[in-house]
Amino acid sequence: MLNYILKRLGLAAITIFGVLLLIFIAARASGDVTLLMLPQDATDEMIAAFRAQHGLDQPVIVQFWQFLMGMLGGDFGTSLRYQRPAIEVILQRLPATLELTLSAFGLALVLGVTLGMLSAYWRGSVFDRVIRVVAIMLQSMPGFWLAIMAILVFAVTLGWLPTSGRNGFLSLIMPAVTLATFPLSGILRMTRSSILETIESEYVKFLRIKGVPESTILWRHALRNALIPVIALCGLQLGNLMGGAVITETIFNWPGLGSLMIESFVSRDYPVIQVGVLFIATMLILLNLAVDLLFCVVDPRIRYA
Amino acid sequence: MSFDQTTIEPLLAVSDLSVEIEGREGRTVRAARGLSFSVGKGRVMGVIGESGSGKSMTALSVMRLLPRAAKVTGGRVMFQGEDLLTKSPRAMRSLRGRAIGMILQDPSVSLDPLYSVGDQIDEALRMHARMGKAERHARAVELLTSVGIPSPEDRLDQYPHEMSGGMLQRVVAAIAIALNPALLIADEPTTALDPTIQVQVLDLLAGLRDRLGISILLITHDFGVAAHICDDIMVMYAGEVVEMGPVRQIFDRPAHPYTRALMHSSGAPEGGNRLPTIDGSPPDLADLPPGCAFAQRCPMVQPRCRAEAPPRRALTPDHSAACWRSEEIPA
Repeated sequence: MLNYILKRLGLAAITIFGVLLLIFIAARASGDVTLLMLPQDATDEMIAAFRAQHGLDQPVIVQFWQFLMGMLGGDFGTSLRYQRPAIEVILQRLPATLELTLSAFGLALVLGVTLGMLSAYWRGSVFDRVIRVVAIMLQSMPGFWLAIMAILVFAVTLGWLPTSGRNGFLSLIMPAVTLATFPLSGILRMTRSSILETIESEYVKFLRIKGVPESTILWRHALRNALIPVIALCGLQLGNLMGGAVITETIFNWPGLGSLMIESFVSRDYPVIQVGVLFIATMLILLNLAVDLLFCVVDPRIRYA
Repeated sequence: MSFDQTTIEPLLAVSDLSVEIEGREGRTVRAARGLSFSVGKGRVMGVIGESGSGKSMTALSVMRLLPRAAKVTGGRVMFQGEDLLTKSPRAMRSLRGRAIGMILQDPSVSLDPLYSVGDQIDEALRMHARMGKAERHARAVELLTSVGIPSPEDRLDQYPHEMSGGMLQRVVAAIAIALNPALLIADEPTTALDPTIQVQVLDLLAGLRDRLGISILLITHDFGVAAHICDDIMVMYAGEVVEMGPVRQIFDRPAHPYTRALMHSSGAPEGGNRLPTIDGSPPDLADLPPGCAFAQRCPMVQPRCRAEAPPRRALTPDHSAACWRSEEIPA
């Protein structure tokens, strides 16, 4: 087990290195930061000085080497835009993103599993049919469109919720709900079909033969078995959630990592982009590892070596 | 002695049982049509027939665990003097697993893969018996020993995927007999197992009958399996009992052409390379022909068979068959 975790962490280090190299080159390929940072009438000397100051006059591969060496010494670079350590800029925005993504994920998980279960339990009923149609609709709507519609209805027309910003619980509702819709409908549909498959199984038939009450069959046996594919789906949805957060934060002007990344790409703030991507990639890799380890807890058939 | 019990007070007496399944487009499949049979105390009754003859539906009717689309439309299922069909769901649940146990066809999918074998035996005991934890553990060990599982203490902590099919079927049997039921229903309990393991599981069932006096309703499509442990057999065709009686009498002198064809189609092929088969296929249970249901496949068919369904009549006091020409059938 420990071997498995160490192996996964080793693979994670390689993956993160690859991601960093890719984003390092891609950011620089997107254009020259110098011209954005300096005034339009900057002299050639000023440009050369700026480049030398930030090491931008070196070949990309040398810059990358210096960046890696700096990181090992705890120096993640200085934000070109804020003139502060990039790591500080990131850490300042992190809580807002965690608040948004965790609320959205919690909402998707709790509502998805509960509604999926009820939908399976009352299969064929009006409730089941409505839930299934709504789930398909929500899964087919682009997040950005849903976000804009939500702003139009609940903020502009009804005036119930603030249009944007991060200012208390009310301002969290719309971003969290719109971000949750996509994973929610996926989890709901997966839970429903998975439970239906489980309660048709032979071992559930045998539990009935044993005289086990239906409620025990549902909660103790069917749900636990049905959750295995749902956990796998959740692992996949975490990546979507981070991607969705970038869009949602930008639309709702939510001061998190996602909107910071967009701002940094637009202003070509290389150090912040690099550290931001490093952060997000590491988080996703660790979460996926956690999901894989969770399988072991739920399913005795899965043992990693 | 046992013969008296069979005739005077059978443990299970099913009379005139009919089961219908709602099919697509309003088709009604008649899975069981006026079934009557009884199982005496300590007897093993074999239910034989092809797939779709209504064997499993009969068993599930007794358990009151028919699938959603199926329902009992008539008859009585008397068990220990009470009609199971009129019992409340709650009373029925308390009977299941306690007074009536059941074993399914494929042991590899009969147990919940996420709980240990010991836990799943314990669940049956928790459900029906007021026993302390230590007492239940001791009983679980005793049960595994009684179904012939070596080192039972270690086996209790294992999960289903860590056991072989034969071992799992023994565990399933242990759960089925955990509360000393009077009746054990075994639905094709050896079909999914290797031939050598099949014999072991059949011997186990025979042993349970001998030691515990359990009555067994054994569903099978294999005459060899029935001959191995059954006292009596009933042959089902198209939802009806076409022949019933002591196993020896039926073997020596089958009184229904279907029984005879079935007997000759099980077991090893004689001489040639091909297994003998019964020509044709069973009738559509949603659209039964008038007369005998077997008429269209019967080698001995007469005009009367197609017009008028033969009633089941006694040939000896305990051997009966539903055929107009029972007396003429060669062995």
